[in-house]
Amino acid sequence: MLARLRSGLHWTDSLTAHRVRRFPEMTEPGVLQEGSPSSTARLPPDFPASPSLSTASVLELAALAGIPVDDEAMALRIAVGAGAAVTAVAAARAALQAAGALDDALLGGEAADHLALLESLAGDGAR
Amino acid sequence: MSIPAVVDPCDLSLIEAAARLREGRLTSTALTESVLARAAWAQARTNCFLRLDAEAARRAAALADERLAAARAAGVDLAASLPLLGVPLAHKDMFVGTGSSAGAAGGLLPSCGSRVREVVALLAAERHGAGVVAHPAAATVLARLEAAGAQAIGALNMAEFALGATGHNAAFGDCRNAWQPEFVAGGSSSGSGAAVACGATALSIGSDTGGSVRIPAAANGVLGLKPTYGLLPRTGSMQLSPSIDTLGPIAHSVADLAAVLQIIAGADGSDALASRRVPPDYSASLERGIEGLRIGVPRNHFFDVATPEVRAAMERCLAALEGAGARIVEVTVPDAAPLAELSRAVVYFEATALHAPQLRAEAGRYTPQVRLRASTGLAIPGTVYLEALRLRLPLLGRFVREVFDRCDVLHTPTLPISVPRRDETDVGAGSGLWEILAKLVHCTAPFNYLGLPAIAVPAGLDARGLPLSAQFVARPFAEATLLRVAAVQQRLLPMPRASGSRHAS
Repeated sequence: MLARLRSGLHWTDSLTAHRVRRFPEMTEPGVLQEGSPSSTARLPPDFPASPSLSTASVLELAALAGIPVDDEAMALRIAVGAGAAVTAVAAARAALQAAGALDDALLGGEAADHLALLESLAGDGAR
Repeated sequence: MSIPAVVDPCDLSLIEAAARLREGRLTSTALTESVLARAAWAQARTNCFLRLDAEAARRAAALADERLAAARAAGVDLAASLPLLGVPLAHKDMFVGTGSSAGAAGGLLPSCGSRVREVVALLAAERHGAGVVAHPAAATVLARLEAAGAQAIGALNMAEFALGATGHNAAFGDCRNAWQPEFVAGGSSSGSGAAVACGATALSIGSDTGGSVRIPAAANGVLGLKPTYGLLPRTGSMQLSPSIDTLGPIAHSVADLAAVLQIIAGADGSDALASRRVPPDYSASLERGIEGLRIGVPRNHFFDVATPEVRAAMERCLAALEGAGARIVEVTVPDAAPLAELSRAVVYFEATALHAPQLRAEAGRYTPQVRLRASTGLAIPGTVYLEALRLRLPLLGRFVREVFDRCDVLHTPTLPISVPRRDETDVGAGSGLWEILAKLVHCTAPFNYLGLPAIAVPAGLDARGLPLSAQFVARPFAEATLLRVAAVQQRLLPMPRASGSRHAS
């Protein structure tokens, strides 16, 4: 599976092309944080395309949170930007699962154990 | 007989300037005047400062000179107790001031590179004045530098709320590259990179959530260290994504990075996510060399999008390091591309949660593109966010085992492409913008997600005269090893200074 991942599609090549074709304004840094959906992030070939929310869903979520979103164009940008990140999480989960690394997900460490794990992996820093 | 070149005091390294101050070979007043003159040049060239209080800086310098003179008269060596006494510094405008620093003259609260904060600061001042709420805690890193004798004289430009990798800032004006102002300074610690490169501060503290210390350091031809997540306490600093945020120093000199890291590292009792490990002596091993050290060169990901010019520069670095005794080994790293995307899921979600109150109250005061970035977490489900955090544990464990069992440090470019122009990375730029911005964080963001330490080290100039930079990455808390490698590279491949151009401009 990992080999498949490594040799998989350059998924945002097609995603970016889709954006540029349909939403040329997306080529502004408007939806970019410290970087954008990477052009080299890889998904398994059979992985579903980016599951972006609809603009209506984004507007409903915004209303629920009380955070103003001006119009559908802004909602669309939010949906696409978030969709790429959501897809990446799903891809990473799938890859780890295929490698058997998520077998003990319910018994594994908490997200908050990150610092403790860093400390345990420190080794001899003065080597 | 050769005539020694005259060095402006502001071009001295931090520890050299501090030593001269203690020995009476330099006064803080002379150093500060030199820094202020250079800051004026740097500001005109790069727009790196958001605030600078020259009069407060002069008053602080005079006070420091009195203390230095008194210590010398009494035969007291201040090297241990006040190692930075009399040294003026400036930092990214994202830290709560200590109240006594000259840089806080404009207010205790930072602008964070945004007009939104003007309103927040006014409201906070009213509440503080009325005794409704206590002042926020001062930034631990600034307080520790001040306790060591350094004086913060100003606050430096940055991407609005640290949400940007280029140094563009529509609210306060872009920070420009110190070498060639039509190119980007990198971000988000844009002012820190440019100011250090110009000699307007010997060292500057910035923050790194996707490359925000290393990218401006690389773009401006100086060193930038992103320490291990948790090494530096973040009390009193602006948060972007608390699960990923790391503070870090930018400087010309590896020895300065080591000295300052020693001062600012370690838990402060306030940041619950700061490590309680006792920091090692970072300066002790700088001269040890790298004989036998295994430097890993990744076969995959990090060179995928590197330009031939960047590849050639990296090869020159490796040849120099091999000549110094390092062993170069090829390694296959676990797929790094998803790591940057996972990082984005976390950063988007946390940033939106942090900005929610301000977005509700002051959405119109955000610049449009930053408002959009700060709102993107709206569309990331909580389950996905938590999953991105939980996935980090097995991914980190696997990365460290598979890479650092085979090598001691990993070597990559910091930027796989040449420093881009400002106009090609600004709002409304052409279709290549997307790819350029992705490439800027291609080599840096994976290590933010994992929390590993990394350092950007100058690697010469490209054909256009713009800096190139190598990145070294190590096991958690192996900053001493990174500094050691950087010291060797700096010695073998010395970098000219951006400020060398000032007489011609």
